[in-house]
Amino acid sequence: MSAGGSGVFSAKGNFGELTHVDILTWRKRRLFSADSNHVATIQVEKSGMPDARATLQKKDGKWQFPEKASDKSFRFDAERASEWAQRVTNLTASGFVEDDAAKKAAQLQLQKPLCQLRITNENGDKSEVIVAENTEKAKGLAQVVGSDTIYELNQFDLKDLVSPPDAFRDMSLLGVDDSQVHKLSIHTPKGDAALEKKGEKWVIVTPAKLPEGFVFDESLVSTELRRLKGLRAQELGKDKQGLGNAKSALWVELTDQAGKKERVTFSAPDGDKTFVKGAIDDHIYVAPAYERRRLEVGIELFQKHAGSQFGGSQNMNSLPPALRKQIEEAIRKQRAGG
Amino acid sequence: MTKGTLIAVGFCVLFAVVYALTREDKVQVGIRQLSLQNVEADQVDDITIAGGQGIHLLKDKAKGWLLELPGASHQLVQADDEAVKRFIDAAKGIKSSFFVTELREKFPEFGFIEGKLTYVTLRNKQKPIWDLEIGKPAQGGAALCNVCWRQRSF
Repeated sequence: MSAGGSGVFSAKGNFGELTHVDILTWRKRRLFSADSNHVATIQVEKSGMPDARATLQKKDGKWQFPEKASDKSFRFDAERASEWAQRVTNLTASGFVEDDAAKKAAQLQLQKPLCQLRITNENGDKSEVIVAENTEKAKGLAQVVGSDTIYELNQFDLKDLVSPPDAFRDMSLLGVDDSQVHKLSIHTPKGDAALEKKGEKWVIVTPAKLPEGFVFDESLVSTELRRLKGLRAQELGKDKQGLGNAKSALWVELTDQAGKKERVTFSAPDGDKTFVKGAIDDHIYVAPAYERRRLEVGIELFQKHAGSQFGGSQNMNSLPPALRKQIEEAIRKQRAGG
Repeated sequence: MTKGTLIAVGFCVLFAVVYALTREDKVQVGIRQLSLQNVEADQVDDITIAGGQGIHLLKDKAKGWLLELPGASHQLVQADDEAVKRFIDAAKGIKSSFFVTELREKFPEFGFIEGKLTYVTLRNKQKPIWDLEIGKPAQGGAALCNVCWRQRSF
């Protein structure tokens, strides 16, 4: 080490960190060089599977899915498709297959690909990637056609690549305009709840007798309607999947001013999932079980939170009741004093 | 005050000013010797980060930035242009640095320990633009800073 007659300096910024990053960070890991804004088509062709080929096409800046355009049972979600297209175009390897023995094994696996991806740019440039699975390492393998480099992909990316056409499916369960909803009904195995809009105000219709100490927070109705409108399934249920025992089902029904009703029904939770049937189509979908569990409280969904009168601090609800009471009392005194 | 006294006072003031300026100048010259040359992204065509993992990046006119893989084969693969750009941008930022110390006995405190150092050299046509030793992250009074560095002689 040569002193160089110099002293020690310190500097702002991330230069120090960048001198210590892993070599993988310095290596180009993106599989496609295309700029996602200038991609014209993306095609994924799966080997030996139903819906083997899915092609996204961009027209006037919007993604379309012509292969399913005439399929009435398929609701296309251009936004989800666009997000998928972004992810695929920016697909980044988690590592590389380097040594000769591993490369030979990977080549054999790539001869039985899971899928092939083809991207065409607006200028006509094309690139193709072959994707396979390394089952031993639980990783994906990918190779750009015409290149020797073999990339490793993580499981999430691998799953994502073979997810079309479901990746482009609209997973919403209710089509109603939440601002036009006039009546909201919740049926649970333990009892019913119903709210109706009278003029500009929401009133509770059912139950006739409210739980003791219940304070209605009207603002929670629109919050709930927005939440229901935004409800999305995780995936499509398997063929012949049913909702199970009707007695254990929970449903929410929304009625608009014209009297049009939309109902979404949840099956009894099955582990961390629940099966859902919306009014929007005939499919049975899979949603997280907590979407049903939070509705099981019925009318208490609209119970004013004790914390909400104290600066909307809803975290108060998670405190032990005695402690919460103490804090609320202290805040009340402080406010009275101030 | 007599005319002679005024002249004497005037000389004293002038002397003090000249002394102060000369003294400050000497300190500034000392710092200037340690200041870094400007880094222009298009001038850098070779980056070495020695010590640690050993990173060597080369700019090829046709292929852009290439990364030399470790091992005897010295295989060159395509580098991530964005990562290189981020590094050169960060290197530009290091110019606005705070002087910490020039006391040699203090150097180990800042991570300047033989065998544990990281060396960074940016080159243009094989000539170093700058060549630094990187110590450990700055702490305490230099909380706003995150790296200690020293210039190597070349």
